[in-house]
Amino acid sequence: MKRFLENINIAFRALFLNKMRSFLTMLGIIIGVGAVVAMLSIGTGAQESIISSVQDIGSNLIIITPGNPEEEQQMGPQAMFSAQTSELDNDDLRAIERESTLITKAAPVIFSGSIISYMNKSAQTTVYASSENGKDLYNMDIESGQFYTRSDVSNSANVAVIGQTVIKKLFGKIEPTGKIIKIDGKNFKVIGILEERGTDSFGNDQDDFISVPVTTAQTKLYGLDSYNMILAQSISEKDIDRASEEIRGILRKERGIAMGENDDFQVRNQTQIMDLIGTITGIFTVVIAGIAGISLLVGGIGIMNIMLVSVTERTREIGIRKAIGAKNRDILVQFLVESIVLSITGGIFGIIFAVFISVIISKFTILDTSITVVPIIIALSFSTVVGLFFGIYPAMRAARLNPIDALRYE
Amino acid sequence: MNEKKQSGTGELRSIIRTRELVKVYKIGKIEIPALKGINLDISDGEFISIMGPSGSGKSTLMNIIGCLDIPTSGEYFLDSVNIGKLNDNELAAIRNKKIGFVFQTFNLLSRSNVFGNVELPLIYTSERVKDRRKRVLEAIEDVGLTTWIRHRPNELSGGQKQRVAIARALVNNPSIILADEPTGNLDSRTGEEIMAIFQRLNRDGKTIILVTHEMEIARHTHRVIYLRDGIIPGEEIINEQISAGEVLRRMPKLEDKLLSY
Ligand SMILES: Nc1ncnc2c1ncn2[C@@H]1O[C@H](COP(=O)(O)OP(=O)(O)O)[C@@H](O)[C@H]1O
Ligand SMILES: [Mg+2]
Repeated sequence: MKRFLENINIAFRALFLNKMRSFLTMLGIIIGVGAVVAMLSIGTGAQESIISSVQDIGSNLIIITPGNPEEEQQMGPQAMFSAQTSELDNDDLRAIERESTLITKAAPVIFSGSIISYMNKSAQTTVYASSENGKDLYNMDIESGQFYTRSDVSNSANVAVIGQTVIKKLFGKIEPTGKIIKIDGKNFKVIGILEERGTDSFGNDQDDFISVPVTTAQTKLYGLDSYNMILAQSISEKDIDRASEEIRGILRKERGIAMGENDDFQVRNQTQIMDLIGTITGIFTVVIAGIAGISLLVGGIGIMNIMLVSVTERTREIGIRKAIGAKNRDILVQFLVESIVLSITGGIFGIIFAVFISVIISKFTILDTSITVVPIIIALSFSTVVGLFFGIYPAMRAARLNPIDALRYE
Repeated sequence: MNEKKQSGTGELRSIIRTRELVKVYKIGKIEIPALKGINLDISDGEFISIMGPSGSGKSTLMNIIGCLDIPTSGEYFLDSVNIGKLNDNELAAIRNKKIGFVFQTFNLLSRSNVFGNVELPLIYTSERVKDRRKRVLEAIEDVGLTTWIRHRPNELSGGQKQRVAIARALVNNPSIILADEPTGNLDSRTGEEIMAIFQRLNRDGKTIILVTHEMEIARHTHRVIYLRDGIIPGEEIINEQISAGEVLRRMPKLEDKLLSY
């Protein structure tokens, strides 16, 4: 143990003596480890924020959209005609609400870009039209005022709740509640202000929208009978797949789809979306592992190269040590420790570098980063293995030197 | 460091014994016979010199005696151990414990200071060494370099470097000190100072074998073994050894000042 510490000491001194050279040798490892840890921190951060923004929409959500994308792809232009009949409408919503046993509530959604104005100011924003259930399903929390009610929906009331960004655009410091705004030229009364939701993982402003009762949007704004989608919430996370299946059955019956015919709608849920995210991040991880492997390989070759140079340069030192009683193993360990110290030091610098990069990234870009322990441990153990693997050959060359030849070396 | 080993019979026991030692170097197909049958008997506590012209095989013989190299044929017993039967690790252990080397070119580690260089043999010792620091300091004091302890070799004069090498050779308390032309790179006064240290160590009981090609140096020792073309043509007992201390006292005062280190 004592001798081992001694070797580490010798190694550090040897590396310190050639600061520039050691640094350049470590650079491969620094960049490799740094890139991997930084990218993983970005990846983990992105994954976390995607997941949380998926959950932000609401939890245990089931999303029902019209049309079957696979079928549309297969049928080409004909799908355009059949698309008309595959719209989701109030009957579908009622059927789900009536018959499903595994959901807590359901809400229709229509979204569309619209021009809104107040006094002489106007702006573009997205209108999300829904029912009173949309408040919970879409995580629209009220900061002041109130959300539109069931009766607002059944009366097609001209009322709206507005997001923080819309307030900034139209009202500035003026209190918006109670004011009349225009959406696509129609008057609406502002009855509530939504809490700030921030940006999602793609950098979209989640406060740049306005919400009105779905019936009002259908009759007074867009002249529609149908919805863009229906949202439903399953009673629990573990029932989400069963609830999706149940809804599928209800809709097939409601829409009169015969056995053997394809669905003309799609039912997806958050678990599936999460799975998709998992697949994407899995690919990302493989790519990063590839980069890591290549850069550690390059770094390792650099270490091997410099260690071979070092063995040659220090032939005489090896001869002296052997003359004085160092065994082959002592010399082997000395050089091996040196290459491992080189690669671990490189790894540590790499991690510091990565932490630095990811702090900068999360400060100056919309990406969230998250440094976790696992990639750091993996990076460190990999750089140790690299040092060991690429150090063993030079160290064996050193250990096998004949003491007399080594002492005679000029 | 100063107990004098004697055999039970009362007569000085042979610490080094070689029989028909032969060493042939091979460079490609060319064979260079460096030693052609060397028989040596060196007793414990002796101070002998091996003298011969350049290329006569002195270093080759020293390397074999020092267990750095193995003979092509013949036998070598060190402390009654047959060296020819040992493997690399066992040879390393013998070099570490029983032998102290002093080289013409000093062979110090340039990156370590005096302390680090003298400590080196203790790093590779298999036994646990108590008072390691104390032993290093004692060895350094023994050669009078205590004030230079934190200096690196490149800050020392030739004579000082050789004294570091001697301290390093002494620190593990070996039975034999092997010195291959230790004064070869030194001026005459510094060389004389090194010889004074060797004479003192020998008086304290160390066996010393010294290689030289200068008769003046050889006359400081008890016995001169001549070596020529890989054989020993004869030897000479020196009855009146030169005392290095004496010589130093007689050296002119002026030189004393000019060469002060
Ligand atoms: N490693 C070696 N390889 C080949 N020949 C060598 C080697 N070492 C010494 N010799 C040869 O052996 C002979 C004796 O050399 P050496 O023992 O160094 O003599 P000395 O020390 O008396 O000058 C010389 O001819 C020398 O060239
Ligand atoms: Mg020689």
